[in-house]
Amino acid sequence: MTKIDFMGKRKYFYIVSILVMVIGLISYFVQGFNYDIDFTGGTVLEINLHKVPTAQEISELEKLTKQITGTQTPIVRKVEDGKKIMINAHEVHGKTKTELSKETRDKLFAEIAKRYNLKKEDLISYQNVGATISSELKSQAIWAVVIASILMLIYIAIRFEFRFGTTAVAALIHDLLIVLTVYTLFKIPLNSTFIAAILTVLGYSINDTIVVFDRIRENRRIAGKMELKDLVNLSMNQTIGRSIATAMSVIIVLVVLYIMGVQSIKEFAFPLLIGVISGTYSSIFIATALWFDWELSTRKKKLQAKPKRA
Amino acid sequence: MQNKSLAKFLIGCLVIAFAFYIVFFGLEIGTASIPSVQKVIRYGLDLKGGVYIVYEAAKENPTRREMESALQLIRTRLDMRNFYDATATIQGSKRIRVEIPGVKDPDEAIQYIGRTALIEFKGPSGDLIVSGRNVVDAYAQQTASGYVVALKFDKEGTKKFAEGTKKYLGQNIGIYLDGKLISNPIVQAEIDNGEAVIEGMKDLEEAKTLAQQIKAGALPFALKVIESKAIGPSLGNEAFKSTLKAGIIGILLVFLFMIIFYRLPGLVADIALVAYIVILVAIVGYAKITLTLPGIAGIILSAGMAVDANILIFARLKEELRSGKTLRAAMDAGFRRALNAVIDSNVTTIIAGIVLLFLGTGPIKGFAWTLTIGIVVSFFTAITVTRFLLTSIINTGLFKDIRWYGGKKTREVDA
Repeated sequence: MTKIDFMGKRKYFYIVSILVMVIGLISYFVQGFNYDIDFTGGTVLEINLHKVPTAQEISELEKLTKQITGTQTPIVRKVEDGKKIMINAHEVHGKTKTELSKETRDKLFAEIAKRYNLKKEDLISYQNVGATISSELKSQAIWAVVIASILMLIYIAIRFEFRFGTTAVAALIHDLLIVLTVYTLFKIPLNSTFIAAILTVLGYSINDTIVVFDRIRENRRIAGKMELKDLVNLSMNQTIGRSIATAMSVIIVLVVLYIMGVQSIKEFAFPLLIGVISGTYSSIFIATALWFDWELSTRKKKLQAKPKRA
Repeated sequence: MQNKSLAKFLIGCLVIAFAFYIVFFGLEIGTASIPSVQKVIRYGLDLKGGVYIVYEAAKENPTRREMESALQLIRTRLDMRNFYDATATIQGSKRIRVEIPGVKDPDEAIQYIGRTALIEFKGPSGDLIVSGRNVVDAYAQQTASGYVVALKFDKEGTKKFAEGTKKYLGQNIGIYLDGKLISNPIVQAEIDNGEAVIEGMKDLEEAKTLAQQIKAGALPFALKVIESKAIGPSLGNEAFKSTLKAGIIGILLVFLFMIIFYRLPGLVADIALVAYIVILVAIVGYAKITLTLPGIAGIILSAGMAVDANILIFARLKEELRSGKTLRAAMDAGFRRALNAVIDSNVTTIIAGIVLLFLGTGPIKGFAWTLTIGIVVSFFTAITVTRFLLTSIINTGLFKDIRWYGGKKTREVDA
């Protein structure tokens, strides 16, 4: 059996994770999140240009959108095969941003249609979202995460013990931060599928952590007076093969979805992919390491407390 | 014993293959028939194109009854337009989500659904005599003077109308539809039987439509459009095709992966995975769960996770074999000892799925459904189908070499 001293190297993994999160934090303060109109309110138009626009054309389209709609920072991006574009825009009425009126929308499309010689059906889809929906979506996402985490913690505390539950949820928050880092770093639009992606990562991450913890629980019962460090290392070595195999089977599917899927599936598969990788990593290196450190510190305290009493 | 085991294994595979055939191709025996899943599956708008509109009541805390009557009214209006495919559902406490497949222009639909069809009778100075709220019945009629809409007022309306016609005898009473004057007849006599007639309809169709609109009544509150989206049918079709293709390729790769890593048990897991897909697709199709794009992603993803239970079991099986146990003992121990981990890891994922189910809307709900059902089904197939097939094939005694189970060197193991 492979014998890797996971616990001995746990400091390095803490450092790696903290580093990624710091990068995420910097990226968040520098460029923030790319909120899709699901969150900000406004209109998205999807247009088939029948040709891949150059970077200059994109910036011209952005200028045009700004001119017609009054959007301060309109977003034009290529989607799918690159011959289609999505335009995010809104109208400004005093302090509130609203979706485009039919007139503005028609005017914008007519102008683009003129330049690219497009037909009416080349306006593939458009979507209007009010700002009320957006703020609700935000609180919905946060609530979903909080509620799911609490329920999972309760379940693990009952089936295992409180300490396992806490560290599993800590690893879960770790994965969440990693996924958020990916969202801000790669400017993936935050929309309603974001909530689905986040919660799937939660489900997967905890799933993976449980398997590792389950093995520690089992080994602890049968191992007798084994050193804690050896016991944890043994459990990790026993489960690493399975962790990798499971991660691989999900990763294969996600990679294919990412390569072949349409835009919305791509935007969904990419963060999931990162989440699954992070979930596998964190269940091995973060959740277990945290649990180990916690267990170790209480044992030390007990040892220090004993001589005093004697 | 050995032949019996082989027969068991083959019958198991046949049952799965047969179920696969029924679900994907349908079955007809005499008059009884099971339609194939493609025919019954309910596709979400993102897969077939159309329009969706989310309305919000422009009123604080509308009651459940008010919301239901608004919903009913929207349904009536959709039906009148022959949008029988359309769905309207109450979302939360003050929203109604309307989905109309096949329609391209949300604005047109919004205009139509949002139409109040409020009929009002007003005196010459514009004072309200009586309105559609007092109308109990409206129907189209053909009279000597052409097509008309006949109205019947309730008690209060009858009284008001009688007072009005008395007051304005010999003068005009305007009939307004949604604030627009549609006819302006001169009152010939006091009308106290609670009946009125709107003349000047172009044809019977127009008279019928107006009658229905008046009868459908006014909304209990104004509806504000807070979200609307049009999805082109070609986009939906393309999305569906590419996602499906990606799914099939992804799952085939997982099949391959399982066989390479786990050999014979891997193959058994693949057969169980087919059973899993058949059951899941059958549930989604026949239970009419709307299949959305994220929903397909949920199916594919849960297929990836479905093999996890098998992987857990096989990893254990490998270990037990290594420690020198016989095949059957190793398998029993593998299943037994992996069970705790399988249950605990699946329950936690289901918790996430259920939270998503309650908090999500639209396509996210579709994803949550397929993910949650997928995990439950995968749990079932892992501990029943995999176990049955693996037991049978081990009992045939044909596969004794440990390499069949992922061992590295050739060695015989007892059944």
